[in-house]
Amino acid sequence: MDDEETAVTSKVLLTTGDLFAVGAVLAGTLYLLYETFSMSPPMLPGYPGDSFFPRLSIVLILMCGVPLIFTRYRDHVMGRGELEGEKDETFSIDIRGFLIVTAVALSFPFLLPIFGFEIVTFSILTLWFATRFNEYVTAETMTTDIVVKVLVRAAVMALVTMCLLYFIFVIMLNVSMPVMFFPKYIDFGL
Amino acid sequence: MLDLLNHAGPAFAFIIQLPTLGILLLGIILGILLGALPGFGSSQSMALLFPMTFAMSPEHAILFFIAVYSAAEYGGSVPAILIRTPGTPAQAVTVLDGYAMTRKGLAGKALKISLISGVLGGLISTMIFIVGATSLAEIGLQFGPGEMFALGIFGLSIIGTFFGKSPAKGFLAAGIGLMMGTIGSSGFGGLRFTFDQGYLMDGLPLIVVVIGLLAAPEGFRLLVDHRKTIEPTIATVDAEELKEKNKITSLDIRRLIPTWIRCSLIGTAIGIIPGAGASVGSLVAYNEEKRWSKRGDQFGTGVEEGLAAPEISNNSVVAGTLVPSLTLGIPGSGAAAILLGVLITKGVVPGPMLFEEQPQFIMTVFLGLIVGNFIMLAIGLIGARSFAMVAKIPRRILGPFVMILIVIGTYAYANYGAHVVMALVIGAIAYYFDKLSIPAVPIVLAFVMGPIIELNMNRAMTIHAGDMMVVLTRPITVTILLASLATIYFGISRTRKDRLIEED
Repeated sequence: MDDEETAVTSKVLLTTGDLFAVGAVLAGTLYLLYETFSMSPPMLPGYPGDSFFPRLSIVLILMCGVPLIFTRYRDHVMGRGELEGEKDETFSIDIRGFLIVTAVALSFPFLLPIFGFEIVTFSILTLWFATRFNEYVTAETMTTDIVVKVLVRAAVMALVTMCLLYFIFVIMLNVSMPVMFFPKYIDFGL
Repeated sequence: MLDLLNHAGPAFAFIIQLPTLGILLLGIILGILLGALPGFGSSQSMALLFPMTFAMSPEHAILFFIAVYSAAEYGGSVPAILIRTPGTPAQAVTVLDGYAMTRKGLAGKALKISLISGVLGGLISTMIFIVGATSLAEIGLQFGPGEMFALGIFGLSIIGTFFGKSPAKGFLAAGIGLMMGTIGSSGFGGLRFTFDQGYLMDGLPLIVVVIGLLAAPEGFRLLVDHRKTIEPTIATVDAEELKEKNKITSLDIRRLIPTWIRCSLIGTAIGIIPGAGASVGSLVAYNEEKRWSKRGDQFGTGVEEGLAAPEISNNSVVAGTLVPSLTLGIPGSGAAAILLGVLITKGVVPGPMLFEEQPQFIMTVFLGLIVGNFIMLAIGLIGARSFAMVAKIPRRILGPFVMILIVIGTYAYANYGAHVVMALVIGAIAYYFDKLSIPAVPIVLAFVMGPIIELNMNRAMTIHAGDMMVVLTRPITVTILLASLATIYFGISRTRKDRLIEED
């Protein structure tokens, strides 16, 4: 199966991507510039004060960002990058996959204190492994047997990985991790 | 220099202790394994292993990272030679003659040449490092805060110019890094950009920034872009039949000696220049060797010199980058920035004073590089072929493992969920930036250098009663600042020239 076919990717023009990213950076920078005016002034003459260096950094960002956004806007208006065959002028991004991966990863610190290291790590890993093992299975070829096989493989991989991570972080590096079962049953003799 | 040599005994005694040797060994094995993974260069490997240094002393932490740094540069070459899968752009040149040798049935010989070249590169550049670093530190000691501020600006000018395809994007990234470095306490008792959030009071922790900018985008790539990756295929080589051919002969060594000398010097010199790094080092070394070698016209067909040139240069860069990093506090690459970051978090301040105040520490680094290279030689001879298997691990299995390691590693730093959120948000932005060719390394470098530049600028301005012109017009400062302007001008004109050639 063609790799590209299975991915839900969006093609984005590089100029559009640049405009969005540089525009966001410039907007954020202007807000931070506004923030520098509420910083305390220098206490003694000769001291640059709290806001001096951030403003220098802001000048650098504006000096690079403003010309960049103008040139990219000009490119966007002129339609550069929309010509056929200019593959370099676009990039593809799987927005749905990216958001799902980010959301699942972000859930880790919120779920950790509630369910403990073992359950959270095992669940997240099982989910990720299962979707990975399942990637070439289509709706037509999917049967209960295959689903069970994929889930079992993912769960075994997740369990092994979780135990390895427990050993590295909790046993070796002595990180105080909220755990549910492990300290009672596994201490690796250490 | 002599003062440093006086500390060789205690430093060597420290190196040969079992825990130190164990840490070097662990760093080398992990470095080779991670370096062999496609997409994982030295900086990504170090970012991922950052949490391992939490419980280490400053000496052990830097030795561990130096071992990882050297080994990752070598590790990437193994799959490049055996299965035509370069771990990083630096190893793309290795593929040319390395894989060609494998196809000729000379995989064993190619691996040996790669290993010996890498180890020799490490050893030669370490010798240059100790001489070069002490001399540069002596010069650095003459510098006042104004000159150090100018040096910081020079470092930024090189970093912004040479990272990525466009200097505008490189400098934009450096500006973002500088701004990120200003978050938290200002050094004057005030708070900046904290927005009344407690977790921002101490600023963004370096580990969060390093993991977010260097490791997390790789995690996202493995998990999100996995469908587009092509699993490497194995070259069919019957090395047994060619056992005799796979031995390195005295003729080979005689041929390789000039290559080793030339390319180790090139690699070290390029390592010293901030921003250049292993990719530029291996490419320049390969091109120069092609010009100098008697068999230059055969390069790309499986010539020993063509393989040795990038390999020795790759590893020479490691000690080279340590020169400006440790003597002037200017990191030359992402990996060097992480090294400096580890030192700073452990309370060691890099700069010329480090050579005056902690000569034993410097000697430990120097001897650690040497011993580490010998350990790498032994490990490489035993298990080179096994390490290549790592590159064959399917990405779909690797992705979840790398991402969970990133999440748990960040959390483990201070048992603080907000750090994980910060690292993932930074990582998501860096992943998007990467698609737009906005490089992440200048952000890391500027983040590390920003506070040092600001500190020196504040000191200089305080000494001169706030008159910036007095600071900027001192002879050495002017020279360094003019060099910065020349660098920027050169970078911009080079990019314009490249663009014109592309448009034609």
